[in-house]
Amino acid sequence: MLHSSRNAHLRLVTPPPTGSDEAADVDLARALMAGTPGAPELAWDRYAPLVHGIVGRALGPDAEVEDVTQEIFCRLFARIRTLRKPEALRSFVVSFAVRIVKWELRRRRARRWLTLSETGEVPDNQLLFMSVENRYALQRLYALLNKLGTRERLVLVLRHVEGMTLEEIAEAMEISLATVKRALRRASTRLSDLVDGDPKLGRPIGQPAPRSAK
Amino acid sequence: MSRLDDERPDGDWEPADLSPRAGALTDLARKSLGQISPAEQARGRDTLRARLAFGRWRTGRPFAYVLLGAAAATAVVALVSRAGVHEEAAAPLAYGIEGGALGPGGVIEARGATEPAVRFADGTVITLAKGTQGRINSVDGRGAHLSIAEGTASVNVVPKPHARWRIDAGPFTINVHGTVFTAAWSPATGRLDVRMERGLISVEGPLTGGPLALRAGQRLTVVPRESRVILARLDDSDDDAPVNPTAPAAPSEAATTAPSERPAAPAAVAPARPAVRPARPGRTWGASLAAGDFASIVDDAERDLPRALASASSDDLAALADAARYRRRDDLARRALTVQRRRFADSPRAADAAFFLGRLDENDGGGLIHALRWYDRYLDEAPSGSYAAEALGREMIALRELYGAARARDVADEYVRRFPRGSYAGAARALRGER
Repeated sequence: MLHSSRNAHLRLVTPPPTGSDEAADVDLARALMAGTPGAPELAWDRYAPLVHGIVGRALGPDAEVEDVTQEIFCRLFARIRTLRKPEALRSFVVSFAVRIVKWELRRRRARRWLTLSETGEVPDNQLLFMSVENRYALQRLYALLNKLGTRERLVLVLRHVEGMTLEEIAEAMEISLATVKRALRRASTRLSDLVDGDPKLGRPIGQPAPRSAK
Repeated sequence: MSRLDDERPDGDWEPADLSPRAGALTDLARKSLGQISPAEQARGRDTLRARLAFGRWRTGRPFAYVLLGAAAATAVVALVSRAGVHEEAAAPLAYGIEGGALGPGGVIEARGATEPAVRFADGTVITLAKGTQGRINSVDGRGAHLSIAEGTASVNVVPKPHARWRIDAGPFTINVHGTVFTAAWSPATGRLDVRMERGLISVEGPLTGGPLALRAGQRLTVVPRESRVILARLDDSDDDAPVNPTAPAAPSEAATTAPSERPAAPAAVAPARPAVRPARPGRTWGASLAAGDFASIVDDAERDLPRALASASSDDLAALADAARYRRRDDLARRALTVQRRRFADSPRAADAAFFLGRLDENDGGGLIHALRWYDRYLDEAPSGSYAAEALGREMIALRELYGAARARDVADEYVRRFPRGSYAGAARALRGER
């Protein structure tokens, strides 16, 4: 529920479906449920950007975003028959993505994978072409997010990074709106404290050294 | 701080906002992460199709896919594992060798003049070119470990979560993360060639400076004997386009066409005999470095580090600094480079050391200011040095990051004028276009 102007900077990264999108979704959902050849590829073409975005932003800089996205689609197809309303395909996809991302976050937490890439050996795929300082800032952000509980982290990322509405988050995570709000408040406060108190972020940068002419 | 976590008068409770700094970070994440490129989407579609062909997800009514039939029709001549393809698998992946057989010790033996292909149950295929000597070292539920003693392998790995595929090519290790590429290793010339069609791999070995990431459309050539590393676009036929192995991944808009390859810079003082014990008898640290024997160099030096630093030749100090960087011992690398500058002041290697000290400072994540000074110093000492283009490019990027585009434009002008085809030419032109 976006009432106040202070949330005006938030935007929905993936626009909500239009009427024609919903009609196409109904056809696509029925084709998937009927096992029509080519339907999975169509679903991929339509929803891969959405799912990839959720995974990438929720997990952070991670070389396995593509792999997790693949996994989401494979599991989605395996459970497509549980979709009750074909017109709700988009919500179904988002819900699936969020569920698997949540599982992935918990798995990582359980294994105490505090490094940003699973192997710790490969440069993070999403960060290859970023500036050093932005890369560092993002690495710090996701290191701090690792300190949040899975639900808090996911709610915060879906809201502040992915730009979803509170209602969308509640639906995707299958929790109540009130729970979303509580979790978001805790997560926002905690992350703000962590960021503001992080000595490694925003260290004072000195004045530019005069550059000798060449 | 603009947090609001109060109850609204109408009872519509609004959750807290982020602090400005936290908000800026989440903004950065939103703008920077998660976008899927057309190439990634196309690759994902192919991968999905391949996975569907193996029926991992089917719930009853199967989809008809050509690949399923093709996979079933594959002439598997040696089924080595009984693992089922439908399981996510702690059990080893099933695989077979098409056009060949598995010999003693995991050696892949071609049948006649054919090119044997190892087909794994997850859809991964590794094909050995004619005459290639390869072996399967191990297979588990997440992937396999193969070695190429000589020749060329074409690798098509189907991405899946937590997969681990490793290809050894001579002294190089290629970690694969779902991709299509060829790798050729020649022990006679000591040359590795990797050509990337899709995906992402990392290559680690002599001269790579730790894992070196390769993306789709790039090729990598490493010739340790010539201290040569070339990372370029596939369609760039210029074989004399080396890059500094410590350099970051190239800007996306530019092929890596750095200026000149690393010379065998002469030491200012050439000792009559090695002042420190070589890593192996009869082998200098430089030779050990070329052979990829980094650990022994570091171990040798650390047996009596003060003495090693005080008595090593300029060449040995450079080799020690390289070995330390490859072993991720930045502390040791920094000491070797600092001593290089002090003991062999005014030599070409001392100037090179300034550049590498800048790279080390930059890699620290917070040392851009220091890195800038080192790049400046390098450019003063070696305005036409081997790393001039790289130093100028890094300086331009650092200036932009620290002080904004306006401060970086003079350097961008200089870069484009001096290195119009350099690695940072695209970024420099973009900066000039921001006026």
